[in-house]
Amino acid sequence: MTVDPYETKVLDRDVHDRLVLNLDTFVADAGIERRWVWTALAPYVSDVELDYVKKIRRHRVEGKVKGLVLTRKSAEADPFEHMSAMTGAFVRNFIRARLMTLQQVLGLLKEGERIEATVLLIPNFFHSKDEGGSILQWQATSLYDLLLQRAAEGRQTVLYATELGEMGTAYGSAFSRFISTQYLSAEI
Amino acid sequence: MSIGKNFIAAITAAQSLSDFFTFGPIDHLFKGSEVEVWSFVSEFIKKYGELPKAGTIQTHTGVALATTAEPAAYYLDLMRVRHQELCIKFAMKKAQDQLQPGGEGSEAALTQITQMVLNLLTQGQAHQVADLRSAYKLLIQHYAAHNHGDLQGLKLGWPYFDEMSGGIRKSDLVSMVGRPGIGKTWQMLYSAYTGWAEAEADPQNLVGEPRMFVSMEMDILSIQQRLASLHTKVKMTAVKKSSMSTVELKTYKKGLKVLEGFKAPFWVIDGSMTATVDDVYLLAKQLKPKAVFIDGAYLMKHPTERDRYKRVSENADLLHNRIAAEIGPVVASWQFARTASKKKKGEEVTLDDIAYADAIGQASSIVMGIFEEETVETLKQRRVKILKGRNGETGEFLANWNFDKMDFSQVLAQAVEDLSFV
Repeated sequence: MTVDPYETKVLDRDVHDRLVLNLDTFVADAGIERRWVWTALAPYVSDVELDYVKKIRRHRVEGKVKGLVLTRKSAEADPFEHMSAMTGAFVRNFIRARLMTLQQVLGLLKEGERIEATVLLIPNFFHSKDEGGSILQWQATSLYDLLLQRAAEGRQTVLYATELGEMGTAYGSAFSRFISTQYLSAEI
Repeated sequence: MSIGKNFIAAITAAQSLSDFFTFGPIDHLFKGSEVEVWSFVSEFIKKYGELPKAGTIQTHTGVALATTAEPAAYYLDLMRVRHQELCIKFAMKKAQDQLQPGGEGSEAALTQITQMVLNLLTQGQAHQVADLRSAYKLLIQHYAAHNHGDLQGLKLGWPYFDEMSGGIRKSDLVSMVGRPGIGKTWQMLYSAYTGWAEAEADPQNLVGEPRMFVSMEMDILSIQQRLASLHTKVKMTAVKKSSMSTVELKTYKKGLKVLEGFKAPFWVIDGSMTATVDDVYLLAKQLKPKAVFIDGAYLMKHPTERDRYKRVSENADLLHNRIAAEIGPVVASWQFARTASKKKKGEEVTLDDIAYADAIGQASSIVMGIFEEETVETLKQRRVKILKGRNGETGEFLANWNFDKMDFSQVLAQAVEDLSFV
């Protein structure tokens, strides 16, 4: 069955016609399902997340906020869903946002590839050991480099970590300090 | 004595080698018995680096030159008039022969006349030497203009580019390069239209600045629809699909009426009718634009060259040496080669990646490139790189790519307002 992207009234035919025309290409680049592009953001995210998304242009220009870190409040919360909804909102505002798993990011870093994205969202950035997460030293270093580089270039990053204290232990205090001082945070 | 011999007498009497050089190539102006005398003078100069004396000429050619009353330039002007008359008469006769029974017909007759006109115009412009001792006026005027920060050249409408280049000027070939389908035509149209419209709006400019836009890929209707959209800010899709709202149609009609009162013309040419550089040159000679825009210049034909690489190369040189040098700045669009899309991430696209010819980069005084990969962001903004500046500058600027508002201007400040579609 064909879905009308304009039915939800989130998209404007005059503004988004070229986006809709090549929607498959753009959602493939963004790493999300098509529906997130025409799905309103508010029902899927907290006020902090909503505000962060709305003010993304200001964050990029002012440079005070380098990103957003989501942490676990409820075991039922799905960071992948939160970030898919955010990515969809960025895409329909013509901002190149890409949702990538940690393994995808590490794979590209290992190949020496640059990650081209104005906003990079990683829904499984850090999971505690009891949830099966683990990180090698070179990976932690590479990821820290990546976040610093992105911050320097005015590119935003959105991360999910089950718990910030544990992430600090795994990644080191410098990394932890960088996130706590430069990123907004929200519990989900 | 004949005009040509009078000219030789005057130039040898003056013994001014610099005059000789500033006249440019004039061999074709000598006729009949003048040819032998002029050949001797030319050869003498080549061999000895000086003009021969009248006595030497008489010894070797048997021609005694008279004393002349006027400077050589006077006789040169007379020779030019004589040459033009003879050429026109000759071509008319040949053209008439083609129209006779047994002739090759009107096409051949037209070619005969066109070729004659082209030759005459080209010969008339051939001044290739200047004396540095006479440079004061030119250089001081140029310095004064730039020292006051005035833009001497024509604007393309992107402040970064206009300030960096000082505007485009006669003898400039400005190349816009991009992969197929990336939107070079819109950039060409925007820059042609904006300069034209800004000149129109300038109260100091009483005559405006004519433009000539040659499209090698689109017909006149398609180009005019795009230009009208730029002018009226009515979306091109609504124009193309004939689906304008009542308000849009009213705006569109009003805008088109305003165009009728513009001081200077904006010529739109279907390139399939003017396929070679010479064709465009002849048209430009008649239409007198301040700048010539050629969209899809790599598709231009060449009268003799069939090999695509050589043809593009030759045409780039011709655009520079003929149209840009003699009529006004030329802005031409070209394609990037496949090598540009095969670049690894982080590898820069360079002049070497322009399709078909090195000559494009060499003949162009300025080269701009658009080669970002297609993303959701390039639907609204595109990065334009200056790959080569007139004085070696490089840089980049961000241009709007907004088809809702028909806005292709430079992005001057990054927006900070909240996102609209959440």
